[in-house]
Amino acid sequence: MRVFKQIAGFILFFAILGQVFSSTTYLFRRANDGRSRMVGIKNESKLDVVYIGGSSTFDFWQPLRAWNDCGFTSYCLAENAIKPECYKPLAELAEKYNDPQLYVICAYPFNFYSTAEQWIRGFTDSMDLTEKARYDLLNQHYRIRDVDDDTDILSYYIDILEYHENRDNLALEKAWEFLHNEGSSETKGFAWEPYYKYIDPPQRIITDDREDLPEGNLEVLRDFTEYLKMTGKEALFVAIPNVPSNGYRAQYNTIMDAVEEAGFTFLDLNDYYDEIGIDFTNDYYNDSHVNPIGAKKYTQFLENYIVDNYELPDHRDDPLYEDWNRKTEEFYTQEKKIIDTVEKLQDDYRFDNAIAEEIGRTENLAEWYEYVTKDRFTFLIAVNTVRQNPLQMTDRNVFDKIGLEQSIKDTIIIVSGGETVYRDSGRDLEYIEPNESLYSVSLKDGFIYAYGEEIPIDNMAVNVVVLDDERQIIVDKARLECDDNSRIVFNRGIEGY
Amino acid sequence: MTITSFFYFVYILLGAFIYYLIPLKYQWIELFILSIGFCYLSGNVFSIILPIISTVIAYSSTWLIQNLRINKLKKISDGFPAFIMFVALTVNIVVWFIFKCSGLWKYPLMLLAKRGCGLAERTVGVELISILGLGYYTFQLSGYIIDCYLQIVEPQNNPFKLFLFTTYFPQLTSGPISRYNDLKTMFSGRKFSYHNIAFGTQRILWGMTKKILLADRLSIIINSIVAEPDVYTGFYSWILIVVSPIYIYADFSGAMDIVLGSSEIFGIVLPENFNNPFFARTSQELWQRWHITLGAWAKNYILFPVLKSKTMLGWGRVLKKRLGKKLGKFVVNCMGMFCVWFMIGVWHGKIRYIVGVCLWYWVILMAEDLLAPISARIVNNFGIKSESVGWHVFQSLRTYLLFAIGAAVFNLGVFEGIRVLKDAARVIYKEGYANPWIFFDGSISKLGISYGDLNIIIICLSMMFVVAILRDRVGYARKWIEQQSTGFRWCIWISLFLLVLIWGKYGPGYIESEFIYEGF
Repeated sequence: MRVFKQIAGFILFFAILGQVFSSTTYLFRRANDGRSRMVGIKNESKLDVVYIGGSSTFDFWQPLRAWNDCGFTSYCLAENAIKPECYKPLAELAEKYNDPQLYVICAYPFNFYSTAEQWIRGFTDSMDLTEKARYDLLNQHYRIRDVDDDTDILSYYIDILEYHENRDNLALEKAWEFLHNEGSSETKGFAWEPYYKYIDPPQRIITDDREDLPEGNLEVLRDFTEYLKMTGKEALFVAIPNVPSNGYRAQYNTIMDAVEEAGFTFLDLNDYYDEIGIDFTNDYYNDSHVNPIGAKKYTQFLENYIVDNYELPDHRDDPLYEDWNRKTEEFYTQEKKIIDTVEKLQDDYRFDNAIAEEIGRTENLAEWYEYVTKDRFTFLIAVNTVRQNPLQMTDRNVFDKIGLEQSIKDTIIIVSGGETVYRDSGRDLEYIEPNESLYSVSLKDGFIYAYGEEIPIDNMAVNVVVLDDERQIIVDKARLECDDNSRIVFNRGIEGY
Repeated sequence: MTITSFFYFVYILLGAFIYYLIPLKYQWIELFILSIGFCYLSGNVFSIILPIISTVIAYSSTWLIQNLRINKLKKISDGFPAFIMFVALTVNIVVWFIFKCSGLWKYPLMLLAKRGCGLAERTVGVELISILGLGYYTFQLSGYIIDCYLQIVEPQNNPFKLFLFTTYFPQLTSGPISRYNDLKTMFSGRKFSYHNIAFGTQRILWGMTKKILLADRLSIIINSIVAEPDVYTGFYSWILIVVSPIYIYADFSGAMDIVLGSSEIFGIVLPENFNNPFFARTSQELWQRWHITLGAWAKNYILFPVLKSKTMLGWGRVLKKRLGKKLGKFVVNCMGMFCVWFMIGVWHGKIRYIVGVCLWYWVILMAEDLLAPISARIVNNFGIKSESVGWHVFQSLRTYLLFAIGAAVFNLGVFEGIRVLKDAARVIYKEGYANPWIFFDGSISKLGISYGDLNIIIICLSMMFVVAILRDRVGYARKWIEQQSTGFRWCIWISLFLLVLIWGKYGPGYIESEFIYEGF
């Protein structure tokens, strides 16, 4: 009896300890939308479509729009920087919780492999500690990939080792919602990205060439397609329409071969820009990801493709799916606000484009200064020793703001978005933009370099070059000099300018 | 593999699982394999080779001694066993001295090298391999050889069992230094005991609390102050002095808890190394409560033999005649204790430990002994209630402070330690030097720890105080907890587990700080 009590007590104690351990782990993990998206799949019952991928999935596909337009349920099972070996474990998860009829697979991540280890955490650190798929993912990852020697592999398996210092989570309501690793995504995995950036349309590349995928990716892809075949489900592999995809056409062909060999369909949406109606100058916030305007177009195209090619049910009249209707209403309400935001950003962009034009034309120093201190612009000033110094002019307001004293010489000033990022004086001074060396100033060589252009420095003037950071072009290059009436003039028409 | 690592716990648990599955008489073999594995994983291959050599020397010398006595070879003089013992001890000690006390023998060589001695220059440049547990098992084996010579123990006939005694893995990193009689029961095997597993695990958890919750945080404070001596002056030096003993205690006793807990899981009881040292009222009492096994070893194998030697007995008689009984006895005692403390200093391996720490404590102990009658008279004359709590606290604080002075030098080195002590003294005698506002203006939080860390330090110290009180009044805290209700017990252990899990200093990005005594 005593032994029985001891054993029972032992089991009960460790059951409680295990629960405490797992709850603590879940509490201390990241508490963000990505986690909601990943754990939310457990909250969904049966789904018709599960779309697996990375940010190229949750930025592109709008499940609630597809529901509203076509009546099938779908979910973005996706997180940032997905690695190819994540696909199969995610499909295992979907099989377990949702039993979908169709998998849509974003093929884009198979074209490259990032060694940044941390990104795998977006997946493994959202799954339950008892989830087999979690360990399958980690085991496969460490089996096929070389990792740095100083990678603490144990902290990927027991992630509380990584997160136990996230004590700020104790004060976060959202973190406590994840206490049992449960949650839901209001948008069924879709992420609002209320941003905009002008993207030049890519050059379309057509080729029949085949190119090898990064090491390990093809093996993983084949293993994944084998798994999908075993499940007996349908699968559609898509190449998203974005700029880098055009550089991967040969690799996509290799992917296509492997996918079609397994009996699935590969759809390269880079061949359908016109049909989708995608506009790179309007619908993106970087060269890889669409904003909500682009996501709408993408979803509308793909949902029709899916409906035309796969027999999926239409649940719109089914009262069991009332929750989807409610969420769709919220989705459209939210969409309106976000698209307003994006359109405002587009308007600001176009307005700033006009400003950029004006910068290169204005002769009014105060007006010029007001324009160049906007967020989007960087201006570079190089002052060598001057004889007829325009800095000695009576109207010093602007020069005072910039920090150009009357007696200044051998000086470089860099102002970006209105903030002075660099200011120094010294003979033969040089400055190189620290991030990507996009521009530099060399008093020693007597040149300003920017976006591949070389602009000579005049010793008799205040030399200014204005850059549009958004479009990475030069919008103004001028020498500020004195005219005979001691007024500042912008000298733009000389050699090199 | 450190003893605070996840892999060590898996190692212990798997080892214990197999241990209790195999028949009792073969369990020692599993411990043997675990010990070799631990030597290799935590040290290097030389951490196995050198103990083998030491064990062979101990085995062969004790075998020879025993056989000489059994065979009663009258042609061999009675001094021959003593000679064998002496040779065996010398070889072991020399090996230990070379590898562990390079701080001592390299110093004169450096002086020679500066004077142009090429051989000295080459020798000084030699990089010595670190050998796991050398300081501990050398003394342990030396005690075994002496005990065999003195016929206190029967020599172990199985060399592999003797090797297990040498390298028993829980005690390789930080001790304790066990006597053969304490450990020989490990060869008999143990039946499974849930009580041992539970108690052992609880003790390991407590050790982790002290190490990764408290000691590692205190080390941040100490390192921050030491890193900028010009900035952190005045009361910062006092913080350093006051914190150093707690830091050393938390680190060392934390290691001991993990070690003893690990051994307890296998049903093997190792000797305690600490017994509430900061409750001591005198320095002598403190050293009976601090690093108990090293003190016991030094007493048994240095102090008693020295005091009982013919030379010392002869000096004793002469001194008693010349100085009187009490003073004569005191001087003899001084000489004996000097040998003990000098040896303890040498065992720690660096000049700073000899000069600044061990000889300091020798001076304090001898001064305490000399002044004891005067102190008793003062207490009596002033009517001080010597058994009152207030007086006890005063004595403990006084003892703590004296200990802390040595601890500062132990931690920082001679010159840095003296600088800190001088700076602390200036707070008292130099007007305007004190800076008490640092305790109130948030300066403490600039020492690399947050207010959250300070809270954890306070919580840990409070827990340690409660555990110490329990130990003093009712015995081990774990035994007291065992007598409480199930719910209460589980709350305590789960809370402690959570505390370590959430607030412990570990994980990716942390450089695991070694236990202080791992280096010995």
